[in-house]
Amino acid sequence: MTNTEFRDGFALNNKISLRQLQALLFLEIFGFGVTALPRRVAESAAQDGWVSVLAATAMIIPVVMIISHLTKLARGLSFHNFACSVLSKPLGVAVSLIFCSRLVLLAAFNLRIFAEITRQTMLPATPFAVIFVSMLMLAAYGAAKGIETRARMAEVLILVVLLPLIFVFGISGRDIDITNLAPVMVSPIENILAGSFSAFFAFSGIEVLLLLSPYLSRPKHLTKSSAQVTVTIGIFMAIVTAVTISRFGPEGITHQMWPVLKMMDTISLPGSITDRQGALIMTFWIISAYAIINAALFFSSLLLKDVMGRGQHSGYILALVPIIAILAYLPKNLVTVYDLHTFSNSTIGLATMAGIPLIIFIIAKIRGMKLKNARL
Amino acid sequence: MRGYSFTIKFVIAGALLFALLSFNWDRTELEGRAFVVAIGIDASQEEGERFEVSMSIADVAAMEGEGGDADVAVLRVACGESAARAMGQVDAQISDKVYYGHTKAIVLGESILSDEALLREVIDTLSRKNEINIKCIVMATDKAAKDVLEAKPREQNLLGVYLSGFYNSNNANAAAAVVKLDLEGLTESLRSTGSAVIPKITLEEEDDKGEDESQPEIIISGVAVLRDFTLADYVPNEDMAGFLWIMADAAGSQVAVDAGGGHITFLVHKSKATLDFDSNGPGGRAHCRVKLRAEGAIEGARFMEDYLYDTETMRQLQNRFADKIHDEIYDILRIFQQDLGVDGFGLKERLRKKNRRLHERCLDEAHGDWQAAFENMAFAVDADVIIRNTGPVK
Repeated sequence: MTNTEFRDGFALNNKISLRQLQALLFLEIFGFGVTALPRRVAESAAQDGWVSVLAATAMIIPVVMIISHLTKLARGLSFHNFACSVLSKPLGVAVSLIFCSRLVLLAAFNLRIFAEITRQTMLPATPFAVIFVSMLMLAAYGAAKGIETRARMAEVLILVVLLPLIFVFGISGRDIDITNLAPVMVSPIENILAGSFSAFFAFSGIEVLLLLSPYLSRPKHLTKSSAQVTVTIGIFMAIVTAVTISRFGPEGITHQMWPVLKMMDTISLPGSITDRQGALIMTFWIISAYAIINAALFFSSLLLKDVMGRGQHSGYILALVPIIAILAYLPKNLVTVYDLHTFSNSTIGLATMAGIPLIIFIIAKIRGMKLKNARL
Repeated sequence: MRGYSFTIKFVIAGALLFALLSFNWDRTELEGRAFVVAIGIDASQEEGERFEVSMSIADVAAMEGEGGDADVAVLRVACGESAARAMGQVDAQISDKVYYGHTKAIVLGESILSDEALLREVIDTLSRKNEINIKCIVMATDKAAKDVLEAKPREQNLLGVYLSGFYNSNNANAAAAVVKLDLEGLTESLRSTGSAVIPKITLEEEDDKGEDESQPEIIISGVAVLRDFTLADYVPNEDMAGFLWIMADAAGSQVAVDAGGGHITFLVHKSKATLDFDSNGPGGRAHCRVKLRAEGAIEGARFMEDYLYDTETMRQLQNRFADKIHDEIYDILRIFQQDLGVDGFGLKERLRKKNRRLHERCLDEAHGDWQAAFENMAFAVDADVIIRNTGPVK
């Protein structure tokens, strides 16, 4: 006998299925990472940038497996409580706050870059504040509704994200020069690895897997599901990178700020009455930005609620909204935003994506915590 | 708790409404926009100014028939110490907001092409204008770009639309064998080698103008060749056929050979050039082998002569067409290699993709100067013509 509540045929039990988890992760990770990814990897590995992306995917898989293992090991405990039980309470609090900071920074950078792109392509005179408020309020509303609402929304939005992207790249495919990928695999290995390091952070957001333990209805196959979605994202990113490098060339792409968005400018639709089709790719970008900001708000508010031990997560969301807006507004220009973002990735990002999960994993092993005791 | 939740919803909804309902910073009516269809850029003659920017702006009211006999485009000209400032000055002259999203063509005057500093600044400014589509056509002129923009094509009142239509139709290759270049191609070419081959647009000379013509006719013919970001020379259209063969862009062009008292014309349906590189040139020099295959149909021969239906004659004709194409390719290679010293064929990138080691060797031997490496390259041309069709007349 369960005490699950139902409304309009939907269960309201604060649990999501693994399929919903995959949709959420795809939306949160794919969009933000991919817009500048081809440029970043081409700067290091030139025409072999797509190899760097595949290498980064191979590097992220063990991380995903460790994170999934820890999530299952948490046995439904919140991340904060699990971290406290493994690391001791003071360290658990510190780790939770580090994760919270990482998510807040991720949301702030994402918000600022979203606003910059929006201003450059569609709304040049609209103040940052208005774009910030609009996006943050929408993301906050979605986050306040809880994990189930987010999951159902992701299942719908994933199509809205994928269809324009497939359309754009399908049309662009007619006008690419595949020889721009030649010669293949001639970049020095250190350059390919440097590209992989950049591409690794395109998977930013994968760390939210650690925070999902209380919300998974059947975590038994979590490792397989999360690995599947990560490989899918990696393959999509590699394809997008290869097509974009083919289109602009390894030299030309390094001069494009957002080459994936620029792809739209290069196509002419047969029989089209419009010259510019930027709105199509912006659909993909707006939803992707929304997804990651929404996720960051949701999980950082949960972490804060657990650390504080009181209140509702929606209250913390309201508190975080102005903080994220101010952080997004502070950098003077886009160059500073990307510098700070790179610095944040290589410090706190690396810690939350790989360092901390690995440390918790090792300590959990030392303390004899095993999956066979976990109720999955 | 329910009251708390309601407050949150109320605050969120209120803030959203406030934000969404006050979205009018970017409100622009169609009538409030000045649609730039073509941009011309020259060096300024005015003291203290460096650039003169001319913009052909579509007059929407006149296009809709509300302006009587008025021109459908107006020309606005402004000067500035930088290209961006000159463009901004044009914007300041008119009441509507300048919009570059429908710009079809950019014309660079000879005064810009002859000055590296000015050209670099212009290309950078145009590349940074997000509104300008990178597929926008770029042309060079031996006159002032302003004069070209002032002239009206006979078939189409808007120069930018005329140029766009010219290249979209087949007649660009078929009639004039004209090279096409867009803003993206120009920036790529300049980044790679500092050189570029830009199609030339010019005006009919005053002496050639008919008595009933009020203004000179626009002529699209030949190319301007840039070397080290500066104008090297112009190449007339009659020499450019070989260029199109190498660039695999010759579909629609025609080749005519003398067949004893008359000419036979071959219309190219498709052509493909394959470039292979090795180090088997004289003295171990880099060697480029151009293999060209063209397929097409006989368009015109002599009336009431059935010799086209003889296999041996067809074979001989194919060879004669191939010889002519072969000569055209050698001619253009000689012009670019010996006269201009400019790699106008993008061979640097092609060699890098196909034979990276040879590419590096060439650059090493030329101390990093690709144009010098290009001048030292040996070429062999192998043309193959296939006549697929002789038409419905025997």
